[in-house]
Amino acid sequence: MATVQFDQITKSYGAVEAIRDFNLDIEDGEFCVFVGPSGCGKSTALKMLAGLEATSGGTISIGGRDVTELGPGKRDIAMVFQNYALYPHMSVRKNIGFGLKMQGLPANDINAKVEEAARVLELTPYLDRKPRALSGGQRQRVALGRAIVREPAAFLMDEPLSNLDAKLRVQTRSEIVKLQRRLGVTTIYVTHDQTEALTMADKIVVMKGGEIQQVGSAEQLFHAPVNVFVAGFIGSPGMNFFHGKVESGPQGPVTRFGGHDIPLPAKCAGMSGRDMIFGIRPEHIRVGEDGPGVALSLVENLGTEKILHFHTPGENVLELDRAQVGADEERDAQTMLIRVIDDRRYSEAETLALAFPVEKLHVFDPDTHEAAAG
Amino acid sequence: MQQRHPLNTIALYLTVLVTCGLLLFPIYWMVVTALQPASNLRAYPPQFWPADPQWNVFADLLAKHPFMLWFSNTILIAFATMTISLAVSILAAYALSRFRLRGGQGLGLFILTSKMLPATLLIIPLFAIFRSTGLVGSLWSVVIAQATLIVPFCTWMLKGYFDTMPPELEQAALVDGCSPLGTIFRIVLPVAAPGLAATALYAFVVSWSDFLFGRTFLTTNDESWTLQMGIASLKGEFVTEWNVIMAGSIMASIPIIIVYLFLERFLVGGLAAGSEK
Amino acid sequence: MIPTIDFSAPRHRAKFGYLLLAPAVLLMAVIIVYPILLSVSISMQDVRIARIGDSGEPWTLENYQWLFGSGETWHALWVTFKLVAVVGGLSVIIGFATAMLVNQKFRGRAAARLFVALPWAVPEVVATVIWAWMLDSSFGLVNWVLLTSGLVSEPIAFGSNPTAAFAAVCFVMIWKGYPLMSIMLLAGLQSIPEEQYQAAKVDGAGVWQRFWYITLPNMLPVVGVTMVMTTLWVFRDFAIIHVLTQGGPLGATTTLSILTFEQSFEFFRMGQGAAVGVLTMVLCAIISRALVGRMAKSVH
Repeated sequence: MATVQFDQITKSYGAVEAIRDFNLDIEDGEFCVFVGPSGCGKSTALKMLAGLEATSGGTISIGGRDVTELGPGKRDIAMVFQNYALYPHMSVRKNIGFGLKMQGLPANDINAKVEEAARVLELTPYLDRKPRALSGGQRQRVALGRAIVREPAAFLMDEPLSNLDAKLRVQTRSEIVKLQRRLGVTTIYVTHDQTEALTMADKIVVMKGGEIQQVGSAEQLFHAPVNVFVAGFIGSPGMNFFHGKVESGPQGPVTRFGGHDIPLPAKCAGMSGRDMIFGIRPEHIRVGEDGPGVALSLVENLGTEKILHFHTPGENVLELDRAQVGADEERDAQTMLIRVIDDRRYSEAETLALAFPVEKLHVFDPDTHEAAAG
Repeated sequence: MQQRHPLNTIALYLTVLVTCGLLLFPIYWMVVTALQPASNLRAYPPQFWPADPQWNVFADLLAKHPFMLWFSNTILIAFATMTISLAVSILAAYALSRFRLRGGQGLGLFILTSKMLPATLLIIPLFAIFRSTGLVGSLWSVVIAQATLIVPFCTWMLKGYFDTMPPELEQAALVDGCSPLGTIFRIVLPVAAPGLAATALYAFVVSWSDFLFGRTFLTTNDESWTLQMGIASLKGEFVTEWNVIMAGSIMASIPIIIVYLFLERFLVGGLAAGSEK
Repeated sequence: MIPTIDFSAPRHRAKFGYLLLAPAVLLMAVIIVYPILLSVSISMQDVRIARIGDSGEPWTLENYQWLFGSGETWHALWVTFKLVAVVGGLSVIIGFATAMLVNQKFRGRAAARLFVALPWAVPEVVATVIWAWMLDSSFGLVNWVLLTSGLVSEPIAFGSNPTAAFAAVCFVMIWKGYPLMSIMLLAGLQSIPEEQYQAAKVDGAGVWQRFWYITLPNMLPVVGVTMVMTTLWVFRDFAIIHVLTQGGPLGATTTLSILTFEQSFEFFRMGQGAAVGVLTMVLCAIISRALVGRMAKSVH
C-alpha cells in the first residue's frame, strides 16, 4: 500500500520528447487510469514507473521512497502485461510463485500463497497446467494471480483487457475493480479505451502527445473537460463541436446555429463578437422543441438508444484535426450526433427541431482550445 | 480441394520416387560399395545389390587406419566449437535483439558480412598466428578457426529467434525480482530451447564437416587428424580400397544424417532467418 | 571499495547489453578483424611462410603485380566464373524442380521433403569421395552407364581430361548445392498465398500460366537470394575441388580459393596467396552487397 508520485518526469529519445513535465500524485489505494490515444506516452509513463525504462529527468516515488534509480524488482510493484507475459515453460503454479521464489520465500509459504491466490481467482483446477493449455481469460487471471500473490505496494497494468473478447472484457473489468477494492492496493492502469477509464478509475489521467491534459474523476472529466481534446475523447459517442460568433441577444449572449439563436451561458457575455468553439454531448441535445431545424442524414437504432446523425449547418462546421479533438475514427467534422432514448420512430430525411440546453453547452477558446473561463 | 485423377496420382508418386532415387543414388552407392567384397568392385557389369554383404569391412577399417582416433578428434573439436560458439553467440544475439546499443547496428552488419569471408583467406593469417603461438597441430587451432565461421552464423540465427520472443517475458521477470542475468538463464534460455537446439546442431554439423581448417593446421600432426582429413587421405592412397573408404564415409556421415533428420524442421526457418530475412 | 552496479536499474540496463556483447566483440576482433588486417599486410609483403612478430619485410606491391600480371589469376577467375555459372544455374533448376515437386499435396510428403534435401547432410569430403568412385575412369559407374548406353566409345578419364575434370567438379558441387536451394525455395513456395492460385484458376489460367504469372514472379526475390548464396559458396569452397582434383589437371579446376591455398600452403608463397585471398574477399563483398543490402533492412 503506497502513494505514487511523479515529479517533473521527462523522457526523451534523442531529440524527440516522449513525455514532458509529467507531475502526478496518486493516493494510497487509489485506482488511477492513464488514458489517451496511441503514442500519447501513457505506456512509457507506466514503464518508467515500473523501472523498465529510464527517466530522462525528474523523480518517481512509491510510498514516499525515491525509486527513480532502482531496478524493477526493487520497487515492490507487480505488473500485468497486455500479452500477459506468462512464462511458457512453467506451470501456472510456478508462474504465480515465481516472484515469491525470487524474494527467497520458503517453498511451503510460496505454495500456501499460490494456492490462496488461485482460490481467489478460481484457478485451482489449472495450477499444474502450462499457460498454453489455458483459455485467454484464464491466462489473464494467471497474470493477475502473479501480481496479487506478491502483495506489492502497487499494481501496474498495461492494457490487461485488450486481448479479451468484448463480453469477457466487460466481466473482467468489474472483477479487477472488485479485487482492487478488496485488496486496497494502489493501482495504475493504462488503456486507450475511455470506457474502461470511466468505469474503473477513481482518478483518470488523460494524456496526449506526452503531456497530461487533465486529471480528475470520471465526473469531472465528463462534465468539466478542460479542453477540446478531453471533451472529445471522453464519452461515447464523443462530444459534438461547432463554431459560431458570440452575439448579444435580448436575454443574454447567443450564437447563430442553422439560422436560429442559441442561448449561451452567461459567462459568454464578455466574449461578444468573438468566434468560439462550442461543444455539446449527443445525449444532451433535446429533440422536438422549438429551435433550429435539422434534417436527419442517418438513424442508427441500437435497441434502447438511437443515434441520430445530421449535417452541421455549413457556417458552423468546425474544421479540426481528429487528433486535436480526440474524436473517434468514425466521426467527421460535418456531422453531429444526437443520442436519444425514447419510443419515437425517427426516419432519415425527417426534420427535427433541436434545443441545446444552455447548462450543457461547453465553450472553448478557438486559439488555445481550452475551456473558456468567461 | 478438387480430387486428383488417379493416373495423375500415380504419375506424381512415380516422379517423386524416381527423383529421390536418382538424387540419392550416390548415398545408396556408398552403402552398396562398402558392403561388396573387394573383388566385386572391378566386376563388369557392376553389382547393384550386395548379394553377400561383407560386414567385416568396418573391422578392416578400424584395423588398418586410426579411425577411432580421427573420430574422437572430430567429436572433441565439434563439441568444443559448439559449446564455445554458442556461449558467445547467445549473449551477443540476446544483446543485439533486446538492447538499442550504440554500434549495435554496425555490429549486426559486420556479423552478416563476416559470414561471407573466404575461409581460404583467413587461414593464412590464422596460420601465422598459430605458428607463433605454437597452436599448429593442436585441436584448438581448428576450434578457433571454425569459430570464425560459426560465431557469426549462430549469432545471426539466434538473434532471429530471440526477435520472435516477446520482450515482456523478461520484463515480467525483472518486475518479479529476477536479476538481468537470472532472466537470461531462468526465462530466455528455457523458452528459446528449440532455437538453441537447432543452432547447436547446426554448429555441430558445420564443425564436423570441416576439411579446410583441419587440412591446413593439423596435417603435420598425425595425432590430431579429423575424420574428413582421414577419409580424404584414404582416397589419395596408391591402392584405393573403395569399399574401405565407403565404410569410413558411412561412419563419417551417419552422425550428421541423424542430426539432419532432427534439424530439418528448423532448417528452413533457421537458414531463412539467418540469410534471407 | 568497488561500487557494484545494479544492472536491473533502468539507468544501467544498456551497460548490461554492452557487457553481453563484449565476449563476442573481443572474440571477433581477435579471430576475424585482426586476421583480416594481418592478411592484407601479408599480401603487401614478400613473405614465404608467415608468422607474426617478424615485421622486418618491407612493404611492397610485388604480390599484386604478380596477381594482375600472371595468367594464373585470370585463369582461376575464369574457372571460378564458369563454375559459378554452371553450378549456380543447374542447382537452381534442380532445386526449383524438387521444391515444386515436394510442394505438391500427397501422402508421405514430409518424408519426401526430408529425402530430397538429404545430400545437404553429407559432408563435402564424403560426397566427393563417393563421386570420385562413381567417376573412376576404370571401374566407375558413370563410365559404365555411358559405355553401355553407347554415349561414349571409350571411358572418360575424369582425372586427366581437363574438360571432364571440370564436369566432375560440377557434378559434386551441384549435388551438394541443390538441397539448400530446394529447402529455401520450398519455404518461398509455401509463402505464396493459396488465394492467388485460386483466383488464377477462377480466371481460367492453366498450369503453365499459373507457374509463369504467379509462381515465378513471387519466387524471384528468393531465387535471387539463393543464387547469391550459391555463388558465394562456389567462390569460397575448397574441400570438394581439393579432394577431387587438387585443382588439376593443368589448372582446369583451379578456382580462386584453390589458387589461394596452393600459393600459400603448397608453394609457400603466402604473400601471393594472401593477395589472391584479398581479391576473392573483395569479389565476395561485391557479390554479397546485393544480399547484405536486403538483409541490412532487417538488422533493426
